[in-house]
This record gives sequence, C-alpha cells and structure tokens, in this order.
Amino acid sequence: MSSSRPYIIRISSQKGGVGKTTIAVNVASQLSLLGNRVLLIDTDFINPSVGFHMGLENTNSGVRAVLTGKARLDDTLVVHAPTGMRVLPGEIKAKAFTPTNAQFEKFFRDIEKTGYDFVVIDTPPGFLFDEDIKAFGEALIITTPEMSACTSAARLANHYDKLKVRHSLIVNKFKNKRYELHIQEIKEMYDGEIAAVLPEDEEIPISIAEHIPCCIAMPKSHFADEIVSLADRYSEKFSPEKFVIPKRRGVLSRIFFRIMQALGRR
Amino acid sequence: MRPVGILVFTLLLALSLNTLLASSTTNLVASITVPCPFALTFNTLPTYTLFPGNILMNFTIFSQGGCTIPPPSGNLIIMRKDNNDIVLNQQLTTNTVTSTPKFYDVTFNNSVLTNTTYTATVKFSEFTATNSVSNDFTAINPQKLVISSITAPSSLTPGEVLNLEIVTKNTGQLASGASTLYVNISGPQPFSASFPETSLSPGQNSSYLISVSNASSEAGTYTATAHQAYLLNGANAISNTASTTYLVKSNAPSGPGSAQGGGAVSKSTTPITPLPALSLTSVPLYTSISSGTPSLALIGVENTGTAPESITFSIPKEYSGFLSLSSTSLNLDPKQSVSMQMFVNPNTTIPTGTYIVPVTIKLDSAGTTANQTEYFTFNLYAPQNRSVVVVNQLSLLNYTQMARGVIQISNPTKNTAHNLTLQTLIPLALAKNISDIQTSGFPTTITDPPGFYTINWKIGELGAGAVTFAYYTISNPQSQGLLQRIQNVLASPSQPSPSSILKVVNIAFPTFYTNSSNNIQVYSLFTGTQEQQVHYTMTSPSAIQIRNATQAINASPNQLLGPSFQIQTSAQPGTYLLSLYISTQGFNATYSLPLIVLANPSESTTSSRQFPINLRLSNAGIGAIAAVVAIIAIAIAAFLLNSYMQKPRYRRETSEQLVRLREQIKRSENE
Repeated sequence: MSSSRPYIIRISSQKGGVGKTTIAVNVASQLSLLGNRVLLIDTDFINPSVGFHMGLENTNSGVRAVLTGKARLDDTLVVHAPTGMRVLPGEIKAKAFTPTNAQFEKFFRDIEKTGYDFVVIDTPPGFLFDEDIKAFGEALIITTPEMSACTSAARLANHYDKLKVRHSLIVNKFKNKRYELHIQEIKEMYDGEIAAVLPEDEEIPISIAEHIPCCIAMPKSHFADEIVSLADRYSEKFSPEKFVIPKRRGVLSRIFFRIMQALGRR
Repeated sequence: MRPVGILVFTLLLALSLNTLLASSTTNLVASITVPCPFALTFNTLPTYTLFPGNILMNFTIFSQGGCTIPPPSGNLIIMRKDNNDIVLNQQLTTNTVTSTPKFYDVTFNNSVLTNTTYTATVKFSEFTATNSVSNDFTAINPQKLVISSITAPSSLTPGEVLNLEIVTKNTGQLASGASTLYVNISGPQPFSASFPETSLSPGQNSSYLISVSNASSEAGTYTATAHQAYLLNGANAISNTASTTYLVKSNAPSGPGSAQGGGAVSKSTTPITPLPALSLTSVPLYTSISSGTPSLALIGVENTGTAPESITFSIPKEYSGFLSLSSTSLNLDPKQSVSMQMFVNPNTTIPTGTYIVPVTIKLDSAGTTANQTEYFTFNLYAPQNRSVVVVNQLSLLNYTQMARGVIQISNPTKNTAHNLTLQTLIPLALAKNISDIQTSGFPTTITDPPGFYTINWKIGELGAGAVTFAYYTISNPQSQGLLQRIQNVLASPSQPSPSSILKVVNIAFPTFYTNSSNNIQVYSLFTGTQEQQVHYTMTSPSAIQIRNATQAINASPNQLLGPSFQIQTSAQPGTYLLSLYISTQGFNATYSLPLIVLANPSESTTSSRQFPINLRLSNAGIGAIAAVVAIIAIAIAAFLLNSYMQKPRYRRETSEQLVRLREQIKRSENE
C-alpha cells in the first residue's frame, strides 16, 4: 500500500464535543502501533486541539503554514515519539483561518505523494470543505447516543451520500443508560454500518491531561479495546502486508506485539 | 465504577447467577443450599460371638453447624479384613439430623459372618459432605459340644461288665460350661444314665469310660447312644447323638466243672428257705469279680432252736481251685449266730463268665438231719487296667429282710482318677420307698427317675492303685429276683487334652506421634474352664516407655480381657518393635507388635513438611459464610435488576421518529 495512495480517514461530525479529536488521535496512534505509516492532520483551523492531546501544543508551525505555502510539509511534520507517527498539528496560537479550495487541493495532492499508509484527518464541526471531501477514502461520523447528535449525524451522512463518500458511524460516550438512545434505534436512523460503539470512560480525560493517547496510556481500558478493534479492522483491510495481531488479544500477545514493534522500529 | 471493577463484578454476577436465573426471566426462584457438617460415632464390640440370631451395633449422628439435615442416606458395610470381601452392605435410615446426638441401632443376621476379623463401616452422605467411621471386630464361634465317638465291645458274654468309651469335644471357641452327658442303652435290658460333665475349653477333648455292671445278663442286641446337653447363650442346646451296637451272647461262658449254663444268672437260684431251727442271716447273692482280684463273701447262720446244732458246708470240688470256705463245719449253741467266709480268688487263667456255685448246707440237731442248697452267683471278667474298675457284691442280711450291696472301686492305673461318677440303678419295684435305700462310704444323692432309683455317688478322686468301697442297703426287698437287676454304672473321665485357653482377638493401635502418649489395648478372650489369673507383660526399646508394662487380671471363663498399656514415645519417629508376653496356667505366648511413630505435626518447624490443612469450620464460621453468601446473592440480584432497569430500551416509536427525522433532513437537503 505504501506505493499507492494513502487511505484517508476523515473524522467528522456536525456537532461539537462528541469526541472527534479523541477518536482521531487514538485511531491514528493505534494504526501506527500496528506498524502502519500514519499521518495525523489537525484541520480544525478555528479551535485546533490535536496538539493538546499529544503534547505538541508548543509547535511553531502547522497545517496552516503548509496550506498557505509558508512551510513545506516535510519540514512541518512532528514525530510523535511514543508511536512514531507523523503529526501535522494545528496552530493553536494563530488566528482563525479558512483555507481555499485550491489550497486544499494542492495540500492533498502533496499528501498523496508522501507514501503514508493512513492519513487521519481531524476536522472541525460541520462540513466546510465540500470539494476536498471527494479525496477522502472514508469518513467516520462521530455521534453520541442522544437525539440532537444523532440528528446531526444523519444530516452529515446525507451530505456524504450526496458526495458519494463512503462513511461509517461511531457512537461515542455510550453510557448504557436508560435515557440514552438504544443502539438499534441509532442504527435504524443511520441506515448504515456502525463501525464502533465507544464507551464513556473516565480514563479519557486523564489521558488527555497527560497528553498521551488513551490507547497507549490505558491500553486495558474498554475505550482502548474498542479503538484497537477498529484499528485492527482498518489495518487488515487496507494494509494487510503489515504485521497484524489477532483481534482478541491477551496480555501476553500485547506484550509480544509491543516487543516486535519496538524491534521493527529500530 | 471503574471498568476493571465492572468487569470483575460482571464476571462474578455471571458465575453467581448462572444457577439462579436458569432459563426463566419471568419467574425467578432462588434456592440456596448450604452444606451442613455432621459427625458420626460408631460403636462396636471387639468381638462378637456368633450365637444364633442377630448382631447389634449402634451409631450416633448429629449436625455440627447448628443446622438441620433432612434424613440422610447411609450404609453399613461389613468387609472381611483378610481378603476385603464385602459380606454385608445394608442401607441405614435415620430421622432428621439435628445437633442433638441420636442413637440408632443397626442389626443384621450373623449368618453372614464366619470366624474371622472384619471391618465394619458406617457411612453417611449429605449433599457434598460425607462422613464414615470404621471399626474392626472379630467374630468367634460359640461353644459347641459334639460326641466325637462312642465305642463298645462288639460282643459280651452274659454278666460281663459293659465298658462304653465316649469321646466328647468342644469345637467352638468359648468354654462350654457345665453340661450333662446322657447315655441310653436299648435292648433286652435297657437303662439310661446321665453324668455331669465339666467345662471344656475350646478344642478340648474329653473321653469317658462308662462301666456298667450287670448290664449284660440278658442276651440280645443292644444299642448304646450318647448325647450332651448344655447351655448356649442362656438357651438349652443339644449335641449330636452318637450310637453303637453290641451283642450279648446267649451262650453261657464255659465254666469249670458243673458251672451252670444256659442263661447266665438264673432267676430262681436263691430260694431263701430257712432250715428248721436254723436261719440264714446273710447269703451272698451276686458278685462281680475281676480276674486276679480276690473277693470275699459272707454266709451268716443262727441257731434258732433250743438245742445245739452241727452245720456242715460244702461246695463242688470243681470250684476248689478258686473258691474256698473259711470253715466247712461248725457247732452252734441255741441262739448263737456266726458268719462264715467264702473266699473267691480267681486267677487269670480261669475263663471269664458267670458262675453259679451251689453251696450245700447240712444240719444235724438232736438226731434230726436236714439239707439245703444255696446258690452263689458271681461274674468273672477280664481285668481292666486302663481305667477304674467297679466290683459289686450283693448279699441278703438280717434274715433276708435286708439286701446289702458292697461296691468295690479300684484304680489299677498309674494315675489318680478325678471326678468319678458312680451310679447305682435299683429297680423301682425292689423298694417300696426311696427311704428304704440307705448309703454309706461316700456322699450320695438318691433320685427316682423313671424305672430306677438312682444312687449318685460322689467320688472326688481315687489315687493310683487305690481301692475304695461304697455300701448301700435296701430294707425289705420286694423281690429277690430283682436284686440281680441292680446295676452299677461308673463314668471315669480321662484327663482332658491340653488346649489353648487364651486367644488374642484384637489389638487397638491408635496413631502414635513423637513426644506424645497414647494407649494400646489388647483384647484377649479367656476360654479356660475355671477362674485363673492372666499375666500380661509388654516390653519395648528404650525410645519407648511403657508405664504399666506388667499387668495381672483375674479371668473368668469366656471373659474378654482388655488390659491397656500406656505408651510414651520419644522425639524420634520410626518403627519400633514391642513384645507382648501373655501367660496363665496352661498357656503362654509371645507376640511382636510393630509400633509406628509419626512426626508430631505440632512440633514441625521445617518448611519442607506438608501440613494437613484443617478445613473444619466452626459453627459461627459456617453461619457467617452462609450469611455472606446470602448477602452477596441479594446484592447481585439487586445490581442486576438495577442494571437491567437502567439499560437503554428500544422503542419502536422513537426509532420511527428518528427515521422520519432523517427523511425530512434528506428532503430538505435535496431541496
């Protein structure tokens, strides 16, 4: 796959606060831990937050500099030490910025040449860049099990359908409580595949505060398990030549995987 | 709740409720079963005697957790210890088991047991708890007397003494106690007699020589039978009956000269007819004489007239070789009486048989002469050197108003004879009353069983080569002929053969640990026939101390003795060999007893030692566990119910609402 175009996963939602950045950071991290070459891009030009999640908040340049041509992509990428993936963070201290379609087209043409296996794009709420969405391999729509979020997800799904972009739904912050929508209700409303149901987990804010992705900081958490499962499916489907661990992993297999991964990285 | 906690709790819920929820979600019935510990005790005896009937054991069962157990099922298993064959597997039933111990009897027919050692086990199961108690016991056979043999000469000459030899044996394993030997002779001259028997120890033989005088005066075929009667566990028991036959020949033995033949003793050979002015005060009637043994008979006369008389006695010259008179003639003044002796000294060359000797009495008084012949009868038989011999003489005294018997008992053997039993059988018709019979010489009892008055002579012992006499008189004998029917029966038991009178039936060995004390109990069955002292001595290596190494117990017949030896072990575990020496009169034996001493668990300090894990829980602990389990179950149920109630519910209307909403969004977007 490295010789072809990268598989671009757009993490999106119409509604804010559903956990897009958290999922983007963790999916990218887990894909990288599985041995894939991964690029994580923070395209939230209004409120970039990938840097906070990964301890990269002090970087001087980012996606804005690349889009505006002020910096080359290779020079701007930050290596995330724990996973080895490359990160193109947003510029937290810069003013709000809205790129043009032309800037986006050039940006993605450059990215397609980099030889990454996966490019994970964290997007701002809403759908701002219709023209460039066509370049995406798949859009992951993030929602929470509540009526307003699901309605937004349905609207976004309808939008992706019109653009003929493949999309899947991830239900995040699922508490399994009476007041929530039932998964079956969400599925019937979405009328498509639910890629994952991620639980509400106290470990998440802790991992964000520590600037370490949850799948690394708390690999035994339920949230990390679901992320690992999701990443496994992507890796098996789109990067089968990479080392793939079994879906149901035990403690020993995880340790073995980590060792093999560390050796391979050297 | 943290995810790990939820996971663990979920697993716990799944495991705990697996059996509670079952398949029904609408009707939830929870049944909590808590094992109730219980205890058993099992009481058996070291030995059981196999008397006819049942064997009784008992056990107790009670719960230990303050709980109640529904009637549990149990079994009594009896297994041979030598080959592990199960001879009995009997189901046991009890009532509801509570903390109050209850006794239950268990019986089974002892026909399943034989003389060996068994292991009896009582076993009960309640849910997952099983308790069993095992005891060893030994089954022994009770006393059993049998007549091993009865022998008699194949043929007898008329008048010959009948010698019956009877051998008895105790084939059981307990001393027999007192018993009675019955002898019956059927034939032309029947009679019965019984003799008390002394106790026989297990395996002991005893032989009796029954000498019956005047038992063969009538020819014909006789059958002699013998059996024993004894007590068995308080009930009467009869031994087998043994029999033998013998023939009394009809022909008289060949006597010298004019010996009377053709029918032994003539029934009318003694007409007592006083001569004029002369009375016979005593006349010898009947005498049994052993060849080589001299005997003496008396003939008494009295001059009842008023003038002096001259009396002459004579016997045929054919008898002169062994029969002589102290005087052949004598003169009597008026009212004078005198006794003349008739001396019989048959040597062994004289043929045995019945001799009827005519004694001619000639009287001359004042020119008057008269003759009279009296007949003197004696039986001559071969000497008995192997047993006591009884010789009987019978005379008429006091002008024929009294019959006098003289019984001579001699012991020609080289051993002292003990417990001789002599019986004199007098036909009932001979005396009007039992008081007409008088005895002297030995203590007697006189009974009047059917057919005979019986004089029982009590002769304790008779020394080697000794001779003794017993006397009896019968006043006013009713028939002279019946006098010849008087019989003497002498039973002389032989010295019993030695046999084991003590048997070790069980030795109770507890588990011995180092530096501890415990008891070894030795169960032994004393089967001697009389009370005597039994000595027990136990010896041991220096590492083992026996505090009461020597013990003495006064043992009664058939008593189970159980001396206990207090053993003190040292600090060294191992196997030690103890010696047990048991002695009593007629018995001594030594037994080797291996004593296994285990390391005391409470003293162990090494880490390599395996300790038994005590899983026994106290009553409070059991109750606490049950309470905790119940609380957990309730908590789990409440948690599950709460979780179920809080889970999102699928609602069709909500789903349809969402779908409509999506369609509206799609339409508005497309517009």
